[in-house]
Amino acid sequence: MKKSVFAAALAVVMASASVTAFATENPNHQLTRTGTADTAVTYDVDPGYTVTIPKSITLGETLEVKAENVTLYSYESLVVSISATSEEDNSFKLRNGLRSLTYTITKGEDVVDLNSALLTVGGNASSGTAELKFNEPETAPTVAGTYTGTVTFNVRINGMA
Amino acid sequence: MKKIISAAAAIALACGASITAFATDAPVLDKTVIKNVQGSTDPDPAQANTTVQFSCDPKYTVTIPKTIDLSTENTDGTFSGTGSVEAEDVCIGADQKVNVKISSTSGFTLSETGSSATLAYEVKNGTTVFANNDTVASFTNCESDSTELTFVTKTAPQYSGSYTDTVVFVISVGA
Repeated sequence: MKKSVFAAALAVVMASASVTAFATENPNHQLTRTGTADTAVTYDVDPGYTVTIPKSITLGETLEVKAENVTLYSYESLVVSISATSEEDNSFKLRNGLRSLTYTITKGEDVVDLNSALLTVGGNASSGTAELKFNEPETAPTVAGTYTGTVTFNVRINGMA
Repeated sequence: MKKIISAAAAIALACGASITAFATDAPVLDKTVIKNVQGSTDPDPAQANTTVQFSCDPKYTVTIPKTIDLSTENTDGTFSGTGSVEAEDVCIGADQKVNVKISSTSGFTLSETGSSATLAYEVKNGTTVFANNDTVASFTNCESDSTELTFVTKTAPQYSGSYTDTVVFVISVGA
C-alpha cells in the first residue's frame, strides 16, 4: 500500500514537470505530455557510373561504348564524347611513318565530330550503349603497312551543381 | 578521387584526372573500364584512349606473257620477238619494289623439237642484255607500268624446225 502511494505521487510530480534540460545537445526530440514528434528517415545514394571503352579498334569494325550503373542527380546526365585524337589538329587520321590516311567515324548515319555527344545517359536511365563504326578509308592507301592512331574518349557529367 | 581504371598503365597516362590505376592487380583487358564512385562531385572528366589501326597488306598484279614468238626476221638473219611484263595496282611497303627476275634452265638456249639442233638467244631491254637470274623489271609503289623484253636469237638458225625453250619469271617484293 505504501509503494502504491509513493509511485502515484512520483507520477504526479513527473507529469507536472516540463522537460527543458539539454535541449541543444540532445539529438532526440523533446517530448511533452501533449506534443508530437517526427523522425526523419534518410538514405544516401552515392552518385557514380561505370563506362567501358574498348582499348583498340581496327578500321572496318564497330566499337561499343557502354555506360552502366549510372546513378546521378536528377538534373545531371553523363556524356561520352571524343575529345582528341593523336593528330595535332585532332583530325581523324592514322599514320604509318610519314604517311597518313584519313578515316571517318559514324554513329548510325551520322558522321561523328570531335566533342559531339556520342552517348548520353540521364533521367531515369541507368545505362546506355553507343555503337560507333570506324570506317575504312574510301581510297585505299598507296603504301602497304600498318597505320595507327588514337582517339581519346571523354566522360563528363553535364548539369553539375 | 575514386576513379578506378582497370586497364593497362598506358591508359592512366591519358587521364587528365588523378586516377588510381591498379594495373598490377588487374587482368589484362581489351577494354578500359572507368568506374567513378564519386559521381557529380568529381569535377574532372575521365578520359581513356583507344588505339585505332588499319593494316594494308601488300598487293600487286604482275602479268607476264605466256608465249613469245620469235617470228620477226631481222636483217642479220636472226629472229626476234617481244613481250611485256606488266604491273598494276602495286601497293607495297615504303622503299620496296616488286622485282621480276628471269631464269632459264637451258641458259637461254632454244631446242629444236624434232632434233638435237639448238639455237642460243638472249633477252634484252633496249641495249641491256640480261643474264640468268637477272632482274628484268622493277616496279615501285602506286605504279602501273610495263617493261618490254626482246627475245632475239644470237645467230641465224642453221636448221629449220620449231625451236622452244621455257623461261621462268620469279616475282618478289624487296628493296
